[in-house]
This record gives sequence, C-alpha cells and structure tokens, in this order.
Amino acid sequence: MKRYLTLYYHFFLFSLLSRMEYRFDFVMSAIRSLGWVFVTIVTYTVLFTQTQTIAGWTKEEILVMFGIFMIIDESWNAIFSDNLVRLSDYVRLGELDTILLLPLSTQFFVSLRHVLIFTLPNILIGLGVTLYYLSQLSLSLPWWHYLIAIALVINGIMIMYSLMLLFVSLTFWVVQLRAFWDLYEILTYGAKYPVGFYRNPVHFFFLFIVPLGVAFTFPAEFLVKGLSWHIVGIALLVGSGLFVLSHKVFYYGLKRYNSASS
Amino acid sequence: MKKLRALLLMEFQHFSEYRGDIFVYTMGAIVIPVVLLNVWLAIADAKGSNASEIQYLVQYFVVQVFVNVIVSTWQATFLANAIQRGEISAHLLKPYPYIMVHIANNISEKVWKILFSLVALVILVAMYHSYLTIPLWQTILPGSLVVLLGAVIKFMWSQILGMSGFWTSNIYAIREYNQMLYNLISGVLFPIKYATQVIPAFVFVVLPYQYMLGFPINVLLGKVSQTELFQGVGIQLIWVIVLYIVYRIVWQKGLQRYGGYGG
Repeated sequence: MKRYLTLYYHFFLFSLLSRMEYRFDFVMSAIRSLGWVFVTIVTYTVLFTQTQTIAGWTKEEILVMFGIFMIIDESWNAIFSDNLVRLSDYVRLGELDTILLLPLSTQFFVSLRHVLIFTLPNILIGLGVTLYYLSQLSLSLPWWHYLIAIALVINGIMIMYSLMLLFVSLTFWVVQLRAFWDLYEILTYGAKYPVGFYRNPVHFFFLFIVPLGVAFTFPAEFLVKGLSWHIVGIALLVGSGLFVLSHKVFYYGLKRYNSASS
Repeated sequence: MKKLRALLLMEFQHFSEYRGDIFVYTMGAIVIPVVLLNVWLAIADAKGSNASEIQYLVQYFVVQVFVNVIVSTWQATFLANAIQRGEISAHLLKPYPYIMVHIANNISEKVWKILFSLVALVILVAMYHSYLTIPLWQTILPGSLVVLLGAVIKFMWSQILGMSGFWTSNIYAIREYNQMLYNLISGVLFPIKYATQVIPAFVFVVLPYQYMLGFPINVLLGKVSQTELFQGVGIQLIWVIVLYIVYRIVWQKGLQRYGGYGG
C-alpha cells in the first residue's frame, strides 16, 4: 500500500513538472470551465421561466446537483481520463508488453500513470458552485450528512471510472477504439440532469443499465432532498459491484492479450 | 462536377472504415434529443401544459434528430490540424479547390449518418408515435430549402472556424466557445421562443446559430408564418453571402501566412 502511495506521489509530481511548461493552460481551462457554468446557469434560468419546480427540483437544488456533477466529472477527468484513453494505443502498438513486465499491478499503472493537472482548478469551481447554491437553500444538516455525501461523490467517481474501464477493455477484443471521447460526451450528457426527470425506459436505463443516475444524481439528492438509508446502501453496493466487474473484465481481456502476442 | 464525384466516391469508401465511430456519433444523435425531450416533458408536466404544447415539444426534438444529421459538420478540427501539420500543401497543388475535399467529406459523412439515423427513426417513432403526425407537404418544401440553407451556413461557419488553424494551435478552445454559444442560441437545448425573457433578442439576430437549427425545425413543423418564413430565408441568404465573403478573405490571408512558413 505504502509503495503504491509513494508511486502515485511520483506520478503526480511527474505530471505536474511536465505541465509546468504550459502554465497558461491552467488559466485557459478555468476560463472554459467558468464559461460552461455560465451556459448552464442561463439554460436553467430559461427552463425555470416555465415553472417553479421540475420533477420536484427547484432551480437552486438543480444547480447544487450541477456543482456536484462538475466535481465528479472533473475529478474523473483529472485522475483517470488521460490514462484510459491511452489503453487502446498501448494494445495496438504493443506498449502494454513493457507495462506487464513492471513489478506492480497493471490496472494501477494503466489507470493512474498520468494526472491531468490543469483541470484541477475546475474541481474547485465545481465545489464553489455546490457550496454557493447549498448556502442559498439554507438547509441545516448534521455534519455527518456531508461525510456521506462525500462518500457518494467518491462512489460516483468510481462508477464513472468503472464504466469507462469496461468500455476501453473492449480494445482487447476489437483493438481499434477511437470513440472514447464521443461516448464520454454522450454518457455525461444524460448524467447532467436529475435522473428523476426521465420517464421509462430512459429512467430505467440510467439507474439500472448504465447507473449514471446513481453516480451523479444521488449525492445531490441525498443532500437537498434526503435519501433513505437503504438507497444509500444500494448506491454504494452498485458502485463497488461495478468496480469489481470492470476489474474482472479488464483482467479477463488482459489474458486474451497475453495469448495473442506470444 | 466530375471531380466532385470522384472525391465523393473516395471519401465514401474512406468512411466505411470508420463505421464504429459513426455508430457512436449516431447514438449521440439519438440520446441527446431524447434526454432533452424528457427534460421538457418533465417541465410540461410541472407547468401543466396542454396537449398541443406537449405535441409541439415532442415533434420539435424528434425532428431535431434529423435536422441535426443534415446540418452537422465535423471538419473544423480536421481542417485546423491539417493546416498545423502542413498537410494542406499537397492539396493546394491539385486541380480543384481545397474546400471541395471538405464538401465531399461532409456529404459522405451525412450519407452514412442518414443510414444510421433510420435506426433512430424506428426507435423514436416506436417511443413517441402517439404525438407524431404525418408531415404536411406544404411544410416539407420550404422546410427542405431552409434546412439546406442551414447546412450551408453551418458548413461555412465550421470552415471559417477551422481556418483559425492558420493563426492558433488551440482549435479545441475555439470549438468549445463556439459550442457554448451554439447551446444557448441555436435552439438545441430549448425552442427559442422560450428563451426570449432571458436572452436578449438581438443576440439571436446578430449570430447565425438559430438559422442552422431552430429556425429550420420550426419551418418543418409549420410553426412559422409566411412573413417570418420570407424574412428568415432572407436572413439565411444574407448569412450565406457574408460567410462566403469572410471565407474568401480568411482563406487568402491564411494562405499568405501559410506560404510564409513553407517558403
């Protein structure tokens, strides 16, 4: 465990140093991120000229969810995206051979080697949006509710990671995969709105087939509306179940890779 | 014309290699409107809309799938990258204007996307058949013209954005800011009539975005009066001319700069 922590510290340091040359990227990325915050607030202002609540959500409550959406999405982006997007190339160009020889977990290396440093300020912007609209709601929640919300956020990041790991693991079967970012865009598009907005079968799809509702809606729903304890339990089970599944599928695919190259 | 046909054939064959990617794009073309439609149905529920408003919303987002496919472009990034890597040099020597490559690419892209969106059509009709009506021929004719003009405007717009590759290496940022404006003004997230209280009206006039998407959809749905139709088509034609002039100027200026690097 300690060895992996030390390693990750070095991965982080290496990513930071290699990006320091492009310091301007931090500013650009933050400005873009603020642009999207603006677009989203205007969009919801338009939607809420029509009605006071949508499927039981007020404008402030939805913007809390948008803030949490940003935290999860940008964290996933910073930690995992720059790694998973490379897996297909590792396989196609045979670079995976070198990684397999390393004396550490292959999944650890292909998931965490590169940190997308310059998107880190965006996580703070998401946090700012969340806290601002939470303060508008003037809820008085016990402190441990925030701890559970944080657990659900981490759960959401892991669901997002597991889903994308499942997708990129396809590369062991089809080799060429380029639709990574397009698929990501489609998935996050549906995740942006509270899952309660959707009717069946879309509702069912985002809860049970591709559980982005669990990942992105539940943390905010828990804070602003409250969720029963067994739903929170199920959410955490879904997250860990999906994580185990993607882990298994990844190594199952990896076995195919071994047999193909030797 | 013969040159264009040869290019078309080439691009079309090229595309069959990218079937997987186009499948994902098409999935996006279905998922995004379905998500928005669900959001708007939730709004309609909350405000207690009457049947005709609900029908309008469903039709708006279903028709959007097809208008989207026809006006869609993706060359901005490719063009900018080709300029950055110096790949356009080879094309400049060829006996046809370079833009023709992109026109051919764009048309073959659409042929593939239309094939895939037939799948979307079946799914959407199955889901929402009770709200849909048989389109009227009185709206199909002007509708087709307006969609076509929208496609030309969006194509020229993307081409101009792509040519920013002559000046900057950061096409992704430009594309993203473009996407932000497109989201707010084109009518992709909401029919424009709902936004007039929030977004000032002049924004919709001074930018071409609504003429790429929202206006054509409303014409197809027959929600536009005769005067509005003529006005809209007039504005579309003005945009086509303006964008063509801008394209010529930017292309000339860009090439001068580009020549500076190569020679």
